[in-house]
Amino acid sequence: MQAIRLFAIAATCACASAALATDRAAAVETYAGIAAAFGDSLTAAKRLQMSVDALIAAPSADTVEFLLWRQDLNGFGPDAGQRQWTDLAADACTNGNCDRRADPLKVATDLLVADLDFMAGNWAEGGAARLAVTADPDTGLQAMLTGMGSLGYGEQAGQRMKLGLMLNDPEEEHDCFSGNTFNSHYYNGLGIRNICLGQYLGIDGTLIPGPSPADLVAEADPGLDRAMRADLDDTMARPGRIKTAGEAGFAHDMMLQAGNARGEALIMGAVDALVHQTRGIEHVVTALGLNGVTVEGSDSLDNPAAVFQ
Amino acid sequence: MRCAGWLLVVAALWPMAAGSQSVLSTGLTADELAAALTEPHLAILPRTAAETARIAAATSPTADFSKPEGFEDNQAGAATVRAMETADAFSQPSANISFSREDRFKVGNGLFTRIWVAAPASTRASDGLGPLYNARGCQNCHLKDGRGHPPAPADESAVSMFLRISVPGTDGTATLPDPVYGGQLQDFAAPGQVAEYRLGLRHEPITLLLAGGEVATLQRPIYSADALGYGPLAKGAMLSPRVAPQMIGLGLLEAIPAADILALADDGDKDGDGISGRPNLVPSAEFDRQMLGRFGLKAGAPTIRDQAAGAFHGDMGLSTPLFPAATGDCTAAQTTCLAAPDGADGGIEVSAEALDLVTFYSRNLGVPARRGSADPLVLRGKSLFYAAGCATCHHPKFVTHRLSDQPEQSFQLIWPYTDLLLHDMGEGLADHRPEARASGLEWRTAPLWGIGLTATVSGHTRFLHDGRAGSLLEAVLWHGGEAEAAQQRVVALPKPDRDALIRFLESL
Repeated sequence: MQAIRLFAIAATCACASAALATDRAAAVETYAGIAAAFGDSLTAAKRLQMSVDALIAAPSADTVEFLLWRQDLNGFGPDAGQRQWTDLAADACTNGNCDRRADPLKVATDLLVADLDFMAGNWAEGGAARLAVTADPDTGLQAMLTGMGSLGYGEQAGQRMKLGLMLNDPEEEHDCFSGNTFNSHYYNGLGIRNICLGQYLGIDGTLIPGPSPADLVAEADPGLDRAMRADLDDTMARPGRIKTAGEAGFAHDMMLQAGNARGEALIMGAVDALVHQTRGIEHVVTALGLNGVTVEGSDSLDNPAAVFQ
Repeated sequence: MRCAGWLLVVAALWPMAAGSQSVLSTGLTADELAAALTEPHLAILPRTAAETARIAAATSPTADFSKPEGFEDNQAGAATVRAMETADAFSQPSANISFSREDRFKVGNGLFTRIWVAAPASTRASDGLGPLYNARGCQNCHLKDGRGHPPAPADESAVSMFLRISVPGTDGTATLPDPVYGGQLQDFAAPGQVAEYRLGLRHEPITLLLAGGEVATLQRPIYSADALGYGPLAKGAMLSPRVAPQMIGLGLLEAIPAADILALADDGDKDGDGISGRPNLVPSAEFDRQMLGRFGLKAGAPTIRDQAAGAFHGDMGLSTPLFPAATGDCTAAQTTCLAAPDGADGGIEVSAEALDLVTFYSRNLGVPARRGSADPLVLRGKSLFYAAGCATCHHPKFVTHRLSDQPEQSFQLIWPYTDLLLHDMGEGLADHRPEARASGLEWRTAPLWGIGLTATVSGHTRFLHDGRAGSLLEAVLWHGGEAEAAQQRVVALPKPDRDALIRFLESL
């Protein structure tokens, strides 16, 4: 279950967790302080990762994003953060302390690569995640479907999209420094779709097919399969509209502004599609007979899983 | 809805009234008893007479330790979650939550894990931390929804622990805030502000000889408020060390009928069994009235929403509709704090909607199922738990109210192992700081459900109000006062029996 979630959320990060970094002075100071205070940069990063009482968020994709873009000072306006490359250049340094930006950037990217290697290793032959999912087919399928529902619904639709609309804060945008949110949401959706349809389109254009939960659904209930594929299409189309708008300059943080009805409609369109898809996944779980221990109506004393009614 | 619920509670009292609780047994006046029995936070559907009888049968203490009881594995009834073997064990939503309501849980989780920043900041929704605070976010103390711990010698901060402070009250109130430092000491400050203190902690060992020759060493903690930022503490100031309690099953505790809790009270130990559980009666900011206290180490908060708002206020300096001061716990004497910018944008820093979401999240953290309840060693330990008298305060089971709007918590047979009442725990554990009706010797019985997963979730095994016990056995050995007799029975057990008792606790 955990392994599935790792895979499913590989490329995502919640901007909200880096809200701390938006305090500009603190961010520069603390990132610089970390690199300076500890000798070996990788050790420092590991220590940070383990310390949840640390005064800043651990180096992560947010760190990379901040150091490459810097914070978005436009509030609800168009444009994202504007970092000059020379802020990180040792020999043409602008705004001082370029080494104290470059060092954490290296640390964070090394960490990210290490994390991605760790995840890739989990799915290789003999990897822990692969073993966990293949050990028992039913458990594996259940994990896949739970992961799809969990990521799509609670995490993506809820925490990463709906919460932002509720708080009307430009920094609630998922990728608030780069304004790249529409891609994050879109590709999360694509990730869920890939798992369901058992296919992956490589960057060289090769389509890698494989057996899929969708095949099982089609066997069990063709009508449900068609409905599920329609849901998957919808959860690409609706975030796709956000992506189209975003690429044309209608940034996600603009959509979050209180009173921006078009923005709200776009975001809630995607949220509703994800919610609808999750209900569909629930039906799939039932159709494939993957329900966990069901809550029985009887209060039999012989059934340890029974529930008092 | 709330009003109707109140009337239904009154109607529902009649079957409960006979012999269950009284002015005498609770130590409350008639008015106080009426207040304690009123549950405006719940939309209650009354029990039928038949249900009441069934509940009495289901919740009566067992005498059969040869096998697990019916429904014993589902510690939270239908809300029980699978016991995971990872640090996520306490972070799952109620198992019986619907998909649509899980959305609220996830959004609430987003707010619970949020790191807040001091104003001014470029974020509009996440600023307003402080100016004085104990942690930057809920999750920092309630890490992985588990319990906090005292600082280790190498730790740079005391996060997940703080000192509450008060001075003796006047005119019948038990306590008042310190005129300078307020109701708790904050050890972090926003830029440009001065922190109130640094926690000083040292220990003195106490050696206990147990039956069979085993020696246990308890560490008595000695606290000091060092590096005071605003001058000396007031004369007669009382300090109380507190770690963050675990977060599971809170909505279920909130839904236990007040009448069922009060039925267990025995102020003055009228029945002569050595135990005198007392209810706490505390003000609710939400309902502007006195209510039965349930949450917090001395049962100082009546509802989860009150507790959450209080935590936003005192621990993080964030204003909510219930505590609208953006300056949090700062007093009139702390002028730099009062002059600081806030994150309220002319309103409050944490909206009613956000507070509701955090409350919903806090209400629905799932209790993991029992592990190994049929193991003979666990069953042996269970029988010893009852024989030693532990179950008198660590009351095993209740059935929650039937609720019209909280399906997750409605009518569940739960096993929290707490009576939610105050007990004199002896001089050794005393903080000598009253809290409403709780004396300086009393603590609320802690729930034991989930306690066996503490190491898995939190990476430590620190127990009791200030985490002074380094193991479950140490926690038991610290029990004094009303629990002295039970503690002595445990000390006198042969080691294999003591081990079985601990195995039982670890299975919860």
